[in-house]
Amino acid sequence: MQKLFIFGIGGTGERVLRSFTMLLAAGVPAFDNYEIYPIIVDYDQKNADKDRTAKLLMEYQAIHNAAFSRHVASSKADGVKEQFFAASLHDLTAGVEGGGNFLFPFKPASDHEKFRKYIGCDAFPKELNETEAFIKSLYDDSDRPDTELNLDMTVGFKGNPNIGSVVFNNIRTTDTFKQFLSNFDPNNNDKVVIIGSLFGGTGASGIPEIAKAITSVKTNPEVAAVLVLPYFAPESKENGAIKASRFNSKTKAAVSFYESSAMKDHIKRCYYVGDFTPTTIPYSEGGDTQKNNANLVELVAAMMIENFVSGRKGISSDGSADYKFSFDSNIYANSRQESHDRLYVTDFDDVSFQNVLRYLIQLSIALKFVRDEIYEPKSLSDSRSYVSLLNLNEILKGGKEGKNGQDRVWGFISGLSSFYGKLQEWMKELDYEGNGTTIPGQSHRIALCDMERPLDSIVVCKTVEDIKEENPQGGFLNRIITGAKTAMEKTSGSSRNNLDADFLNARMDSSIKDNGSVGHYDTSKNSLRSDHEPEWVLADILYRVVKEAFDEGKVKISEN
Amino acid sequence: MDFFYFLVTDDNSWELLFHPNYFNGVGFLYGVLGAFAIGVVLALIFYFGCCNNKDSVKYSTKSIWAIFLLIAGVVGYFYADIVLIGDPDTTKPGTFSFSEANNQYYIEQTKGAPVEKVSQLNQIHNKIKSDLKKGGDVRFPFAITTAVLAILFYFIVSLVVKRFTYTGKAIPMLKP
Repeated sequence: MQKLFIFGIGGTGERVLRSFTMLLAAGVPAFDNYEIYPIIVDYDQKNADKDRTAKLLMEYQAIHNAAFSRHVASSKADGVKEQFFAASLHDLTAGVEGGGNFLFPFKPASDHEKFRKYIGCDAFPKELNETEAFIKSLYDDSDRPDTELNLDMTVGFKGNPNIGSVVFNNIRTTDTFKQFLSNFDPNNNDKVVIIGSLFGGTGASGIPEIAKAITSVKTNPEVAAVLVLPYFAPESKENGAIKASRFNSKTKAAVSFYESSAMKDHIKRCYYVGDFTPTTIPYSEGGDTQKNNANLVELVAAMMIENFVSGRKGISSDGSADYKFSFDSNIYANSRQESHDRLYVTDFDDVSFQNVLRYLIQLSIALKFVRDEIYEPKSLSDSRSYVSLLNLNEILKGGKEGKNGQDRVWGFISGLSSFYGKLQEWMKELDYEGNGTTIPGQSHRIALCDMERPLDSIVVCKTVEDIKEENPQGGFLNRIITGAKTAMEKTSGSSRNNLDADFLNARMDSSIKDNGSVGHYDTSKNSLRSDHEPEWVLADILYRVVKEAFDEGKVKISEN
Repeated sequence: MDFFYFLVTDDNSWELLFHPNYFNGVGFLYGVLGAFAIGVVLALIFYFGCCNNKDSVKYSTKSIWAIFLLIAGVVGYFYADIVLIGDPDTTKPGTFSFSEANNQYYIEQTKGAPVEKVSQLNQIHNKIKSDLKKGGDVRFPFAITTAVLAILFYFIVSLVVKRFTYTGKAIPMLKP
């Protein structure tokens, strides 16, 4: 199988990885044929964004393994395709000292390590007097705590790429990086994506160093960089090390460096994404206080990974290797959005919708169905074929103590139920409208799904008022057409949007059918086929059912 | 077929000569065939009507199955009671009810028979007629047995056809 290595560098890289994990969970088909190696690189050991992403990745991995590991082993299949949680995650850092949980062992040698100590500024031997003098000419060597030499690197590089690049220069000598290089085979069409921000310290310095480290060893590697431009702005703080006012100039410097240096020679595609109207966030220099809300920019950055892996041309591509996305050109389409801040799935282009966003909607429906109709009820109706054939009542009663693979079904169901909360939280953050004046809202919100709503209205659509506002000139005609449509639906007693648990239950039952060796059901034995593990069957029918519902237009994605 | 109708043949009324004439001829046969047809038809309606809808499982439940089971019993009961036993007061020549057969048998047996025998047959004929009108004689055991048979056939057919449906594989139970 092809491998996809994704370096999420710094806080932004981690948050993009979080969004990317949601795309993987949704079963976005571009990743079907890949083994995914997420690698979180952050010097800040206590970064809350890092912990959250690592936990999410582990949760994903547990769900994938519960559903598919036994089936892949027994069927000797080359991976899993067209399923939720289909892509298999691999932890390159497992077994490496200081690694594990997808975290690159990249951290200060001691607590509160200062940059001056890291470069040995105070311990140059006599024969390196000239070097010492050179260093002191580059950096302010006064005793003030806010100078670069005195930077406490416990929480990363605090937006100083000139410090980060020094530290990152050593990354190629680490065991984990060597392990990555031994796994990465460009001849196998393996790919690498490096994600980070250009306006901070860790990402801006890490991206070129990692790209160079790869190309110095591998010939013609498929490497892409997702370069995130300013999209959030921490509230200002007196004497704070991070100043949003410097983000643009730092980004320009980084872009200028990338342009003038040979950095872009190492990269096949460069994706840029940012937001001209950054979202204001609470001030944090890192550590356990850095836990930013998910942002539309991060979702778009994750979609860029899909674009790279699928090999599609970007819609704004002019033949160069650069792909630029922002909310006023490719995605930011309707005039209404220039003065308003909320986007809907229908605001995206059809390619983005069909290749990525529809799968997120399908995942939302599936997770809601599993949580509300399977996991939470005390007992399930054993009239349902899938409940009886999969023995779900006994499995749910037995929990994780189940035998003969029942624990796997339990792991899958309880994992999905837990992931429901993660997905809901992520989508709420993306659509965060603010909390009065204390916590500002997103400057650009994206309304995907509200999982607390009924299934038939789970996708957040534009309201009729929104549509009228967008098309004021067509108001009268629209009213006539909408009225006629409604009347026809009422007269015929039918509606195309009637997705509910009853429908999904019916499709779950009917999906367990005898269709030769492809079907899960053996009519002659009135049971599942012997080589069809129940956890895999459940995962498979769940995916198919929701996809069918979507394909048949049962999912309402717009009001008109 | 009298094997199925032990309730009827064990009935005291069975000793009367008129009964074997009808029941051993067509009564039991029509009873079993009717019960079978009722069981099959209702099972097919349930499984291929209620359990073959890919868009809804509202009617594909054990409760609905049980209602169909009950309907099979009720239809079987009234089929036996109304069609096969019939109303002694409104019999029509050409029908195959026991009440009609009772009349025909009386007419055939009394042709040219001695007066004593006619009188005896008349007495039995009238007694059967009178008992049937009051719900007695073999009316109840025959009807209830036919109802049970209809239920039984419904159940057996259910077990056979359920696996061929979209949503009824576990109704009334998963196995066999």
